[in-house]
Parts: sequence; structure tokens; C-alpha cells
Amino acid sequence: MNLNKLEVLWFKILKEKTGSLFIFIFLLIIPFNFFKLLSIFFISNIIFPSDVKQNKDKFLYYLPFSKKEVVVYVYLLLTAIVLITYFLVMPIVSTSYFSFFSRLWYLINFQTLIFSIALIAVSFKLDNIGISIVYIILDSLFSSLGSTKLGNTFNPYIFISVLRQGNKFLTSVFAFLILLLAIRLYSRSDKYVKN
Amino acid sequence: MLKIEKLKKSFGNKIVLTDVSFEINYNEILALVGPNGAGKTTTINCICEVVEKDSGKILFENNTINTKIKEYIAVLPEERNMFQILTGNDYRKIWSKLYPNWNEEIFEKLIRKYNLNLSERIENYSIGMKTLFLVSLVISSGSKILLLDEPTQHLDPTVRVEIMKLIRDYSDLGNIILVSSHEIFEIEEYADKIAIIKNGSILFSDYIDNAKESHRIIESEKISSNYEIIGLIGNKILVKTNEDIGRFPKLNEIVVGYLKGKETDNIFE
Repeated sequence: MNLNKLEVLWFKILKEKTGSLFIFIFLLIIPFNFFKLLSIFFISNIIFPSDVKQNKDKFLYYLPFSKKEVVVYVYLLLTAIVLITYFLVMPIVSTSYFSFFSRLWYLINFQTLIFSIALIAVSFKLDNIGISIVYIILDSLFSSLGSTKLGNTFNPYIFISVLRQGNKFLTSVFAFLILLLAIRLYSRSDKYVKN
Repeated sequence: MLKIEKLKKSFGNKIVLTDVSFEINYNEILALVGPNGAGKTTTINCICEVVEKDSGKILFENNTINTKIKEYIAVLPEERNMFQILTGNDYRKIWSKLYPNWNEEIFEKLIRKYNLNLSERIENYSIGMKTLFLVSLVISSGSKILLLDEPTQHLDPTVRVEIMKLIRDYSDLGNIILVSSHEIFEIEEYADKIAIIKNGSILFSDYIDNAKESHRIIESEKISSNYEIIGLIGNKILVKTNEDIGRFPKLNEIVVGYLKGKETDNIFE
């Protein structure tokens, strides 16, 4: 990891997006899951996939950045935002260590999946917010069917559902694989057709 | 040396580069000349990995371009609006951190010379000021390779001359420069080599002096099978030959001859 590049990219993103991120970072501090999920949903989209959609990411690659580096550094910034705001407030309101870390794990899985899905969407020139919303709707639909108990109603999708996260470890593995897929698809996407 | 070999690139069904090859040595400036849509910007974008090439080789000192090598490549992109909101000072911070050979002294000199306000957002600069500011950044980067897309576009005539000299001087310090340009009249002032590109392929590439020596402009009635006919220049013909016939062409005649080929341009005929 190149700390100079990390610093430059974080500086550029935070300076450019202070206005649009401010309200969502503020919402992220509120210790209710709904606000946290809503904020993470929008921050994950605004922080980078929206730039890709508008081809604004192109200018980074005139500088000594690779696409993989940019995605990794942006993901780390997103994680840092979630962690910092979480550690700022949640130790006060959490009732136990278990719930504290369990909720944090849930949020990290959520941000990883939303960020990855949004990045995959823009790599295919689709609308990142729209696809992320469709993903949430389909996820709530599929994860509401059946249960995690073996039997006729067994639905393994619940284990990796972004909303239900029936098994946080499996959700993390799934989220990580989707993130790798997103990096691969984004790195190979050709969007700058202008000649 | 920067070596481009058989570079190919297409976007979906649209073939943009079919065969681009050239070499640039240290202390040399190569001007990539061609009409709109010929593939100049895509060539630059492939070299700095803004777009991924389909095939071919891009080698710097026999190594393929990677992020480490990119620390020694500075680019003046075609679009001058790079980042939103950022001020000149923000750009300086970014460039100085990313380029290991950043030269603050040179940057200060250029900023003072062109009276650029670093506290102002770059997006608020005029297009000419944006070009001057970005040229100042790439020159100050201390990079071994500069890729400049229309570096004199939107500039006043006097400033154009200064920028051409700046580019020449930077190359003479032992650097490699690729310039893409429409300005066929001014490239002769500072470039060593020329590569003429049309429809994604290089039609001709050589040192400018060699190019002039190996071509002649002759009257159409003097044509014979001994010469390779390149193209029409008005009522005259550009041919490739070492025979002492006709007259030596100007650089712009060579460019026009290759780009036009044997098409006539009299619309009344």
C-alpha cells in the first residue's frame, strides 16, 4: 500500500464531496440502524460509483493510479467513515460487547455489498443507485422466503442476505467475493469511448 | 526509449486504433498529427492506461507500463476539467505527492510567470489558463515522459511560442515527449519526429528532417513510375523519392499529402 496515494485520494474525495457526504455522515452518527443503513447506502454510492457513472474517475488514471488501487483505497475510506462514526457513538449506547461488534460486523458487510453492487452496476453502464435499490428489494424478497432450518422451507440465501445476514461470516465471505468481482469488472470496463 | 508496437484498440464494434507503432528516444519530441477522430487521444490514453489496449506493446526501457512507471509519466489530458472544486493549491498538493521528482521551484516560477491564482478553483479558470496551469503541473512533475494532448490549444500566440519553447527545453533535459496536435504549422518549431495518424493507423513516421529529404513536390505532368505517389497538394503531387526532382516539401505539405492521399479537392470538377 502506498500511503501517499492513499492520502491524495482520500484528500481529493473528501474535498470534492464534503457537501454531499456531510448530511449522510451526520445521519451515520445517529444510533439507529435505519439511519445508519440509509447513510451507508448513499455514501457507498456517492463516494465513488457515481463518479464512475459520470466518467469523472477517468482523470485519476492520468495520474499514477491503477484502477485496483483506486477501488481499494476508496473502499478503505468508506470503511474508515463507518468505523469512525460507529466508534464515536455506539460505545455509549451499546448494551454489550457482543451487540457492539455484531452490529459493526453487520454494517461492514452491508457497506461492502452495496459498494460492490454499485460498482458492478456502473461497470456495465447501469445506474448505480437504481441497481442498488433493486438489489435491496430483491434481497428483502428472497430472504423473506423460507428459513435457515433444514427442511422443506430451507433457504440458504438467508445466510448471505445483505439485510438479514443469517450467518455473518458467510455474508462476509460472499461480500468479499462480490468486492473482488467488482474490482475485476471495473478494471476491465471500457467506458471512455471518446476518441 | 518509449516504444509503441502494433497498438490496437476498439470500443465495442468501433475500431479506433488498428496499427499504431512509433518510438521516441530521450531528448526527442514526437508530434502525433491527424484529423479529429484519428486516434490521437486514444493512443495517449492507452499509453497511460486510462483505457486498456486490446493488443500491441507499450514499452518504456523495455518494461511494460505499470503504476510504478506511471510515476514517471505526466499527462496533459484533452479535457482540461480534471477535478471539481479543487483549487490550484490542492492540485499542487496532489501532484507533488504523487510524482517523486516534483520540482517546486519550477512550479513557482511558472505560476508567477503566468500570474495564476492558486487559491482559486481551477474550474473557474478560463480554458487557456487551465491549459497553462496543467502544463505547469506536468513540467514541474519532473517526469521522464510527458504525454501532451494539444498543449497549445486555446493559448494566445505569444504564450504558444513560450510553451513550445518550454516543451523543447524540457525535452532537451533528457526527457521523452509525445505531443498530439492539430497545429501542423507550429509542430515544426519544436518537434523532432512526426507520426501521421489517420483512421487509427500510422501512415508515416520519421524524423522531420528525414521526412523533408525523402519527399518532393512535383508538377503533375512530371509524374513517372519511379516515384511513390503519396498525395495531392493542390495541383501538385507529393512523392516519396530520393531523386533530385521538383522541390523539397514543407512539413505541412507532407502532412496534408499523407492525410488527403489521392483525393482531389476541387468540388466543381
